[in-house]
Amino acid sequence: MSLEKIGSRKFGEIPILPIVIVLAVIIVLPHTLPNNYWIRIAGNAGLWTMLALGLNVVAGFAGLLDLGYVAFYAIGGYIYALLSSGHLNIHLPFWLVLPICVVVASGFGLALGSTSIRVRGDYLAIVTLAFAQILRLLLLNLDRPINITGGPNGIIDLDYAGLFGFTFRTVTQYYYLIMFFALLVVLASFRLKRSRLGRGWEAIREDELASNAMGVNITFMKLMAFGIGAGIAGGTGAIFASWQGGVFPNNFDFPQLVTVYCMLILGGVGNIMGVIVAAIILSILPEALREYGAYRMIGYGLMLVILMAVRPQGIIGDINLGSIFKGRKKDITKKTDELQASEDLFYTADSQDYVKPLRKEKFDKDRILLQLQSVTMDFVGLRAVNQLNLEIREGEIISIIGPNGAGKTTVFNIITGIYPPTEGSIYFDGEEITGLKPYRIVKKGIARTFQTLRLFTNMTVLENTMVAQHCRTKSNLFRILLRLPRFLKEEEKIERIAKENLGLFGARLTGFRYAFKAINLSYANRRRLEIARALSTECKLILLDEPSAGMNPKETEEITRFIKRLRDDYGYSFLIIEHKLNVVKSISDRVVVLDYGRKIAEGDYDDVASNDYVIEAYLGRKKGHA
Amino acid sequence: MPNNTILQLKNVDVHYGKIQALAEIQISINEAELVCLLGGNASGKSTTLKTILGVVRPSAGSIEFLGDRIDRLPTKKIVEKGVSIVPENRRIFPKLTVLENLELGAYLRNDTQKIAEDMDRIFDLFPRIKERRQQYGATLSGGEQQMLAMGRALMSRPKLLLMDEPSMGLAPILVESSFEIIQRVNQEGVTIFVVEQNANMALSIADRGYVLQLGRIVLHDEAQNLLNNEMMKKAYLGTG
Amino acid sequence: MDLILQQIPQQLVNGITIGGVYALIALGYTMVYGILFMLNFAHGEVYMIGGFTGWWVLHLLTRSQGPLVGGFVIIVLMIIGAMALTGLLGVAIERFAYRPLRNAPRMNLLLSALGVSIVLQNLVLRFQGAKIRFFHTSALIPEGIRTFEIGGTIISFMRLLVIVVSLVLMFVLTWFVKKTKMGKAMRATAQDAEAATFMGIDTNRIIMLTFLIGSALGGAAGTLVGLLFTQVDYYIGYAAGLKGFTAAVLGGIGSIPGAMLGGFILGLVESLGITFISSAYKDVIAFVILILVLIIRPRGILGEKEPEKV
Repeated sequence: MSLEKIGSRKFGEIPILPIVIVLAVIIVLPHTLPNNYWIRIAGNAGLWTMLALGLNVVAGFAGLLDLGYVAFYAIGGYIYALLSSGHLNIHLPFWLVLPICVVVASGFGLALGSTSIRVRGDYLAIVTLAFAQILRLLLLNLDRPINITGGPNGIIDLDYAGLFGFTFRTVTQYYYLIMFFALLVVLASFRLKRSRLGRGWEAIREDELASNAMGVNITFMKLMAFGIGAGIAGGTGAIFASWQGGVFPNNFDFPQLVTVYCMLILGGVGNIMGVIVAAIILSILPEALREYGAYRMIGYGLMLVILMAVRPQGIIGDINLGSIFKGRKKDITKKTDELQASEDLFYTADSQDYVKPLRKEKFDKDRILLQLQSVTMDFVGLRAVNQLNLEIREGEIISIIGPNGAGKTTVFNIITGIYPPTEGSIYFDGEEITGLKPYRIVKKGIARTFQTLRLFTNMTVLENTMVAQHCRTKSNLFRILLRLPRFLKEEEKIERIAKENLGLFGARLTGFRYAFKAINLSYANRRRLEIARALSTECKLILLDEPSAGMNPKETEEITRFIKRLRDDYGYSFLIIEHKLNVVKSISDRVVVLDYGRKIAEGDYDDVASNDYVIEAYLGRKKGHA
Repeated sequence: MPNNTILQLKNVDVHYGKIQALAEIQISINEAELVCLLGGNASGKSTTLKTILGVVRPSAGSIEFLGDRIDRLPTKKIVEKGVSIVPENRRIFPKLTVLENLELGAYLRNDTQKIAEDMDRIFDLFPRIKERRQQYGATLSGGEQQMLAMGRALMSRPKLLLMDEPSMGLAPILVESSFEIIQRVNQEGVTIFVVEQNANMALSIADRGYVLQLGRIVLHDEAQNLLNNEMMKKAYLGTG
Repeated sequence: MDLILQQIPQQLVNGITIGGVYALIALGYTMVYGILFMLNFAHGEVYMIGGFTGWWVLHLLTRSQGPLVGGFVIIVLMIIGAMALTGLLGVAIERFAYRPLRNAPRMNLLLSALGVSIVLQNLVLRFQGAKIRFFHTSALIPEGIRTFEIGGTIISFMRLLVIVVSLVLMFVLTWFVKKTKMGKAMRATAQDAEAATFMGIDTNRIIMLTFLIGSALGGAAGTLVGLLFTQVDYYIGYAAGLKGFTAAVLGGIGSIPGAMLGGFILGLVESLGITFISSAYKDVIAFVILILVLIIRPRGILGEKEPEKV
């Protein structure tokens, strides 16, 4: 595979040979194992794989530290026990109970996930842990006054699973049942990961605020992750309960949580193949080391500590299993990354493969695109923006200048919805957008870059840009999991738009650089990628926060010309914060000067630069103005 | 005048991971001088200061302070030897009182008597913060915070005072007064090394200046000459 | 109903006692959080090991015919022994499990902490077994002063001891942090670690000191609970840890007075809850409070809101 093709692996390309081999192994395996004991272990490995992949959606894809995960496993198991046993004398069939378990567990997942809207990081971990503890206490104590959960004795004598008139009884039969569902979960994992949802989660994990500002609906995505993860755990719980023929509180306790997290860490968080391999290893290893059983948990604990310090990406993380089959070496990119980061010398014309269509219609110079009406922003003890009025018309480039702390970036944060303004209103294209969430504002057509560079550093150049299409696409879980034609078409569009916008920067961001991780780009290229990412939201107005910061004079000139070209040829309007006065001078239709959150001047550059007040506050009296 | 050189950076390189932040930096500062280091965003100015202070380690080259190598010493030892800093954005401890902030400036000293004397001296220099000595740092205005940061740095009785962007985030009027303070402290005999984006202001008080661009020193001259340098006028002074 | 009302003064005393213990645990969380912004998951196990240390001191100093030295001496030795051992343990945990991750993502740090917690708990399980260890405290205190009666409410000596010791420890800690040079350096490091290095403060040492003190307070709490309820087992750290954390969050994590306040409030609510609901759900009360506080007011009672940095 040539360098150019990395990162543009054809969509839906399926590695057929490995799949056939895996299927064959799964089918033949029980007949090669010496006894039921080992078939049981193999079945267990399948259950653990499902459980670990479910957690992988929550903690791996979305990066939410859910320490209540086993609670959903428990909910699935106990619901099966209640609805398919003599305990309440209800005997619903397996095919009906399984979806119920999935849905109910999912519902609990959504409920718990809704706390993640307000609570983050460590706190979320604790909330979920407390939730699991509450559930455990309920399971232990709800045998009185009415016996619901059976208390510490659990519920026994559950029904066998049955499907289409066939009843699963033997270990081998259950093994196949489990493997069937395990393969479904594996497939679903892969499909989820390579979709707008997968990219959205990864973006949230990388940088929550930036992903919000690029149009990802954080709340929805987090709930989705919680719901899917919990659903998988619930289904796994039901299958487990049916197989074991009983449920007990200690099937769903802290050790299980630790085990499943160890699988995730060992395999590499978010890495599907890694997690599967780790789940299999950690299902078999304890059996092989039975005599050291007492040290198992100590070993798991040490594993967490040591892996986190030494290899947080997991031990299986870097081994590409696909490449073993194809016999090719991975990571040719790695060396070129280093090389290119310092090099970056040639500027070529736009990419020829994907050409961004030019804007045909003329600007409507009278059309007001953005309007701020007496916008005020108060922080504790500080008025950051004070009664600001601002208008941007279609096709205009407006610069905001002013000393540090004048409130320039705060204005950006207000417009993009990161802070709702304390007072005042904001209109975009005739619609009021005051107080809307950032992802909604992106959808209306405003995108931004960040002064401090907030790329999704561990995602590739192409993926970074593709995330920006999140708000322009609609594929839901159903379409993604079934790979319906509409989903495939949408994916093609996402990739095309991303490449068109990257193509504007020519070879700097295209070709083999599609597959670069953002973190490996040079500083100036990262600034460029932020612009390409913003463009890929299909916006009309772009807010650039110090676009030339950290660039040398040559690069600065180039980016200045580039911004003009984006306006002239592609019809974007701009609001720009910039400190370099030569940039401001050459680029701006109008300049707005802020000081202490107030607008102290507005007009074309020369007017503003000769304004006494501006000289006093910003340019400096001595030799400040050009 | 090599005999009274107080600080000398020889061929200093600094890397952050793969990225090179400083390349072959050569700087020398003499006793009682006021030297400035100019440059734009991300040119490596702050990194230079952090490297001198031992917060960041050079990957090559050496740093000598009063004739001793300090590039492998921990920050604590470097401060002990007499280097002190007024950090970028001042970095006052917001929930410590003014008095406590000053006390921490003298953290490594044990001469209680002299600390008290120095405290009085600081209060003489900045009567404004004396009035506020029981208030939390966070309640001070920008200008007062600048005074406190300066006072805190002086409490260690530094032989070399580093200043990271003293003008940043200050109203223009405060910028001028804060540079006057810098000049005054320098006249009292403290060697000062100022890092600034505001080239006009810095050069107006400095003896000499270095110009940093993308991690390299591209210019070095007497302050007066820099003010008249064509490239400086174009790129940094806005007078070209 | 009358019966319940009669219980209230007694439950208030119980609440203050256990609240003092929660406050001590909460201080460990809050101090570490204040300086490293991390949740020290292993703190509950440190508390548990404090309890076991106290038990061993008592066990080694007691023979079948009675204590080898005076009862009060033993109690003091138990507390000091527990504090010393857990303090060192805390320092070791920080050094080996957390310091290598100083710049790593928070999730990694938390998982490492989880790992430490599992290791400690299972090491104790391995070497001390799963059975409950009983504190034979009856011989420690002279007959006459085992209980006191104040206004109709009976207070045992041990309760009084726990209240006094926890208050003294809190007082000493407050003094240390407010008045001493080290304490000031500690606050400075918590507020701005880099600026603190600029002052010549060795922040690594300050962080070690924070773990030393925080863990020692947790260890003291473990022994105090052992004295109070006369038993300890390998599993007590888990719930106690969560409750200490609840107290810390309730008061406002990062705030030392907040942790104390949160501890006492949690203790009181829990004790009254037992009176009115059922003791089987005692822990549920605490966890529900935790979830509610985190959702409704995550900065707690005395905590301050930090604006999001963009």
